[in-house]
Amino acid sequence: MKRLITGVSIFTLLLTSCKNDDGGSSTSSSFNRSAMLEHYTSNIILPNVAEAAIAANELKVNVDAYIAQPSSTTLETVQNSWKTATASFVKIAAYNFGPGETTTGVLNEKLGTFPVSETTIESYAATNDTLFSTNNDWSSRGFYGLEYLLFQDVNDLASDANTQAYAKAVVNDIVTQLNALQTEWDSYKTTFIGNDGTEAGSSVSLLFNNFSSYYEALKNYKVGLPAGTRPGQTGPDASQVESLYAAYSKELMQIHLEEVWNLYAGIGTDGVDGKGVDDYLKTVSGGSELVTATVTQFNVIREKMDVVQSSSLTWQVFVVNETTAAEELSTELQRHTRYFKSDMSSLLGIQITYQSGDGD
Amino acid sequence: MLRVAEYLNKQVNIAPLVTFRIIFGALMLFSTVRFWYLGWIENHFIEPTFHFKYFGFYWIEPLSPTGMYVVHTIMILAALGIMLGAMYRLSAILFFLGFTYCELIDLTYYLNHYYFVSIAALVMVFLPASNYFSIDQKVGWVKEKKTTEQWAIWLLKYLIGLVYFYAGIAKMNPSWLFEAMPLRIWLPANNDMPFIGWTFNYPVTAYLFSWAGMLYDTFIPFLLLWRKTRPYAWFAVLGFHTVTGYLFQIGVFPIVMTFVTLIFFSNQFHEKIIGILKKGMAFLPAVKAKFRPLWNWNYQLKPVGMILLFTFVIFQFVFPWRFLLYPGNLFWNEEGFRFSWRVMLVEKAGTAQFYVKDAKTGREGMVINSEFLNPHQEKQMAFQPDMILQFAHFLAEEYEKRGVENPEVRCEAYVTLNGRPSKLIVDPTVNLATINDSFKHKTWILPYENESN
Repeated sequence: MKRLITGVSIFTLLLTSCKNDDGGSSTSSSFNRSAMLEHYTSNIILPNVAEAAIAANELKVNVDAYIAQPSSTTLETVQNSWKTATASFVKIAAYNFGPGETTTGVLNEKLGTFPVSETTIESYAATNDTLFSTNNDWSSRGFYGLEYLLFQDVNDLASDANTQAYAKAVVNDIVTQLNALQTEWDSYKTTFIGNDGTEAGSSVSLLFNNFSSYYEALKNYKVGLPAGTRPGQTGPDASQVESLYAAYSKELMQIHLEEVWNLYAGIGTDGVDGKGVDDYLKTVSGGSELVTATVTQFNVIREKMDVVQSSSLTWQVFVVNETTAAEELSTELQRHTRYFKSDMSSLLGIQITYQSGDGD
Repeated sequence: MLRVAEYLNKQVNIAPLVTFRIIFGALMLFSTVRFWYLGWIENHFIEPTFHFKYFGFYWIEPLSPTGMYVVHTIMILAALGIMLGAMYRLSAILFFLGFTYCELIDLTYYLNHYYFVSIAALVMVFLPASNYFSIDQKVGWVKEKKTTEQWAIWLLKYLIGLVYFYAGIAKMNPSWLFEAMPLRIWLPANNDMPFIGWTFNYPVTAYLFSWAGMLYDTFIPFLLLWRKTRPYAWFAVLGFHTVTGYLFQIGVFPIVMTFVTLIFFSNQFHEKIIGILKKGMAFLPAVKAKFRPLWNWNYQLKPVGMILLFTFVIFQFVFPWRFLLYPGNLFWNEEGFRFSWRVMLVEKAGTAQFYVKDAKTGREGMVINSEFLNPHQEKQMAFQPDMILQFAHFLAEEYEKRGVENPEVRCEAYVTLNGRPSKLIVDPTVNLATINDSFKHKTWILPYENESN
């Protein structure tokens, strides 16, 4: 027993001596992850969620107003209102964790699925099936389901009671979910900021995983698929664009791209560049080089995106008429992936999956 | 030769082997239940549409969902059987087969310690571990015997010692020792650890941990063997695994290694443990069974047994060195990397973009990996050339089914190793669909010039 006690004390001594050796002798790479999470929560996530909820509530008011009194004025109002609300939704489409994740699915698939299925929408409307809790056909509702009703199915919306009831149900569903998201984030906030490790399930890991999927959603589904860059596609496919009926894809893509940057650089909704992932990277070995490479390539993406934005064509026409330029945007987005995916998590030592690693 | 045989067959106290059996069985029971509880049967074996195979084991397929649960139920019962020494040999065989089968289903989940469990379970099949303090002996299926041939205990010590020793040797490389990589990445990421976390922000801590880890792994087997250093050594084991277990996501293995190393302790120590267990079970009714042998193995090594034993021992010693037969950087190419106790050695990650080209139309498309792989599969595949090759073959088949004619598959995989800027790991111009895996050097891996290792 004596021996064991000696063993324990030697081990403790070893540990304490480590401490003494290190005390202030060399530069510290310490980064306050909690402060970063605090900044993301207070200055990016919460204001964006609040904005999305407000815009959705306004959209609901305008949908009701149009149905009550269909006219070209009320139509224009509700259509503009949809654009505003969808744009603010695109900004929060990365928050598919915490309150954004439920047993039935995540925020972005529930409200942001595209392309929608016109036949499913029509059949639910025709049978007056507005109980969304009974099925998970995300392609029959959400922002893009509503887009179909507001921009394509306008005549039915003005006159057909079933279509009107369905539109009301869709917008109600959006409002309910975003209001709930806002309420839940208020209470989740503390948990999120406090969980400041880097293991799987930590807030940094959640943020990272969702950030990189958010980036890939832009690359794969908003740009790649319409541009026809998937294997087996024989050419561009305009029917795959994000906003087919309102032809608002270009604007939404631009917002999506800039929001990717805001999340990376930690730029708050007030435009102030706070403590972001880029600042975190700069504190670790090899991080500054990665930030430089990231900035350089992101600017190349912006140039290619500018080509799309400065064109007079809508995105669904652009992919067909200017296929090469669309493919180039897709290629540059692809070239960038590694910086946002493996390089970043590897340098920061973030665990992205729960499985056991190969350990000692 | 006779002397060796005499030495190996010498009768020694069986107690260390018996506690090893109980500990190993209990740990495997815990580990299998945990695996089930975490939903990993579903996640690892049932949900994925594609599985990465082990070279030479392409024929291993997962069973139906029910089948997979049945296999795990059998493993749980078998682990229990090992622990209690109930139908011990059958239990050991079933556990070895079940566990090894599950490991062979998907290369993604390869862990050195799973390999250790597999070979330890295989070895257990041949040991007289239920000859004492077991159900088998209580009901009279085996004859009680308080001694065992010495080789049985030596073999287990050898296996455990080898894991540490080679893990230590593997750490003797410039990155680990002179750049403190990858600990310089991993430690700051864990600076929220209580008490000592704050020291992780200083590179000097990473150097200290790197050197201490290398020395620990290399020398711990010898320190455990020597009676005088043994208790200290075991506390070092306990401390080391507690820290690594806290820091890294490495599952049950810190616990497994901490407890299997108890086999190095003295006979008296193990007799004490068994004594305590016996006391704890004193309430059970005494069974007086006649000896009705179910099997009656002779554990004395004869020439054939000796040859088998030495083949196994030498194979285990030599196999980890096969990387010397391959050119290039081991950590980059990973040729001869697995089954060699290289644990927690590099920080490596990649992003792999696959392109599938229709040979007829010449049109090339970009694959979305997550359409076919779960996040863990995608992550592991992206930096391991042999997995990249397997996935390329899968894509060729898959897209041929979807109507792409004679698909050509190439891969642009950027990999970062120990925090260095990422670079291409395989030749992005090569049509991987036409390349077959083999033990030969993969010439389509792009060399990693900057490091001499």
